[in-house]
Amino acid sequence: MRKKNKFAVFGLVVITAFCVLSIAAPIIAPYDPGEIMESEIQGPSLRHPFGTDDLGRDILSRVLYGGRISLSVAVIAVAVALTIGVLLGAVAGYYGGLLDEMIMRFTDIMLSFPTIFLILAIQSVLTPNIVNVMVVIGATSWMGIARLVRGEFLTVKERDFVEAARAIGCGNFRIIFKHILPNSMGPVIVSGTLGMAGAILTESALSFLGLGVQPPVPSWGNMLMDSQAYLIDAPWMAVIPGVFIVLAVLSLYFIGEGLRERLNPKE
Amino acid sequence: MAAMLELNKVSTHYLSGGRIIKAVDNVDMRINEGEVVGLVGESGSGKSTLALSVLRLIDPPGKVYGEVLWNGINLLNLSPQNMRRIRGEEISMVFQDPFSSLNPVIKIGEQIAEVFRFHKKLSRRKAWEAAIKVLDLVHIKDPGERVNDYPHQFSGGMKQRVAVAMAYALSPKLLIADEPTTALDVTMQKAILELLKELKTGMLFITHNIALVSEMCSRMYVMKDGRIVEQGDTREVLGNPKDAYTKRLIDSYKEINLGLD
Amino acid sequence: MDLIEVISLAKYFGEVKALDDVNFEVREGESFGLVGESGSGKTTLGRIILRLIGASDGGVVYEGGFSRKDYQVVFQNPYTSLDPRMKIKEILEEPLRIHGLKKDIAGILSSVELDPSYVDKYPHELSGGERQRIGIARAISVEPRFLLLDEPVSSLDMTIQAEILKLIKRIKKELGLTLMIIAHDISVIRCMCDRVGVLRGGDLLEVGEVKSVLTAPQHSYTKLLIESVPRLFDQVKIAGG
Repeated sequence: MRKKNKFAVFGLVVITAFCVLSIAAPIIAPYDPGEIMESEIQGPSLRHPFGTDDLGRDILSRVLYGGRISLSVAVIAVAVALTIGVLLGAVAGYYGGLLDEMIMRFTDIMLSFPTIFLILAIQSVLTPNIVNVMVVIGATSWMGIARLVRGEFLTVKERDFVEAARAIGCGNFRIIFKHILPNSMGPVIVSGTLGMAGAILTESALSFLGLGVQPPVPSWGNMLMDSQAYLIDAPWMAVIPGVFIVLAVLSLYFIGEGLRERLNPKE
Repeated sequence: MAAMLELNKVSTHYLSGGRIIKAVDNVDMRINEGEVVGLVGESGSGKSTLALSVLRLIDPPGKVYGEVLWNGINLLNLSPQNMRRIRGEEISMVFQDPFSSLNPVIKIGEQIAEVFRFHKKLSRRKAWEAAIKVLDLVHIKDPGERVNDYPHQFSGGMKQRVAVAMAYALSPKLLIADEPTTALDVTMQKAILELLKELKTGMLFITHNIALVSEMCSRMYVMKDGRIVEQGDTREVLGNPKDAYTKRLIDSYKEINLGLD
Repeated sequence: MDLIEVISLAKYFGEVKALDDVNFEVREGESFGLVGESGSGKTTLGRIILRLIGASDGGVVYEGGFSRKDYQVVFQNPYTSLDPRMKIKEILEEPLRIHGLKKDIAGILSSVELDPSYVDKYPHELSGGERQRIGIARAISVEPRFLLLDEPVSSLDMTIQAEILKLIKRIKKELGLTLMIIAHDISVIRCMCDRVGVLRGGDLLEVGEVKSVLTAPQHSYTKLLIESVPRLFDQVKIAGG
């Protein structure tokens, strides 16, 4: 197996493991993530493999439940971004002309906004909760996808079989969704995986700043927030969620790279 | 008389997915000095692979077996240095696609002059003059000015002329032309064929069109699935084909040109 | 009766002329050939007739009006004209579904001399000749009146070319089609067509019966085209024959 593939497989294994763990959290987690079990911070022990946090809650259980949040935010945020991006990119790429101009200028404007500030601004106005975190991340990260999809559409649109479809009598709708889109999915899938990595990072940052998932619901990001004051005394509070974030993001990058490798030479 | 180019049991094998693909399978061939020999085959026959094998342009996972004797010396055993000298000076090749054999960002004159500078170690000035001469040889009008142009300023037919010019620049004894006219318009085809005939050098003319072979070549080989299925004097082979495949080629030609019924 | 009449057709892409003042008609039931080299505008002309692109000036009149069902096309490149992600079955069902026809796919395959087992294959599993047969099957399945074939055999091996041309001839007869064949090789036109038009640089130089145009070409360019076709010895002549 080639070197690059090894990384992608590693990534796939880790992400699958994380997904399984997250879904099974209610069954696997040794304790309730909100339960205050100890009167003081404890380091890793047999009873608490990842130690406890400053409120005496078990970190292992929190990190498992936190995974559910972080991963589902990633998935939904990317789903939102893909929906917006693919739709806009497809319409712009297929129809061209004024529609294309308008959509692309809008995309450019969105790209020029410093997204972090936009998210922060929105979140400070709205009451931060999981749902609007997902929507906000999705609504501010569709631009790259739109450009990609537009580019793919511009090329695939010119291919013979598309013209053949038109000659047979296919309507625009059918051509876009049955012919061009399936043949443009490669870069979109790669974008999707990389987008998920980005979403995890953004959610972590938001929650770290207190503008994302609100305590007591654990997410990897807000666990980092809680850990700030205890970096020296109880490093495991930061290290554990930190390692999970890094592993998740890295795995998604590896998968994305692996997919990109596979999709390119085949074309 | 000893042949100029002699192929003895030449095979080119590719290792792919655990199987061996015999692109060229046990081919024997002779080309004498000054002779124009035709190699006819369809796609997948191995004809282009054979040409690349002679010039040792086959990269792994491909491997060439057998003997490729050039004036008695086996090219397959030659050092890369010596082989580089032979390529261009003694054996050269014209490819099917005139667009890809020329670098789009370098002037035509530069590209031809490069051939002279590398092989004959000519000075810049002399190499430039030689380039102009060679363009004139292939009947490009105003060679002194055209030599400063870029490939995109030439039409397809003219680009192929330039490709022929580059291949012929050092007066090689053998010119391998792999489908030199296939990518060109019919009217340009004739001009390139006339040009090739004028050069009076030994030639291996590779094509899928038997009519071209009958116009250009005194002897011919027919290739299918990596093997030579028939060979001989062109008139003999085309007038009196013995192999079933050769017969099919001729029948197909006749059907299209003489009527399908 | 004229099925299609092209009147003063012109097409410019910005400043670049693709076609100018092209006039000819295609009679119902005939095979009309359009011969031209690269840059002649033949492909553009085909696309305008099929209403895949619009004209800059002039137009095309269709007897009984234009409809996608009645005016079909077979493209040049069998390797790119089939959607690589669709099975043969889906490729063949698509036009039928669009035009509300119900037909037996196996039957369609046998009409182009392909085994019914091909239904579940993907285009990349088929050879060039087989793919071209699918392209033809797709076009005729909707029972069109007119079939445009754009360089139907230039991408194919010589031995397959004759087979495909024979197939086209047979289908034309069986279905009573009007054909328009675009080719750069005048031998293909000679072999398949009743009348021919010669296109160069966007201008229609001459139009006429194949026999007359080839034995007594009016234009020097036509002469050049005829002479440029390589011959098998001197015995086989292109004209007459």
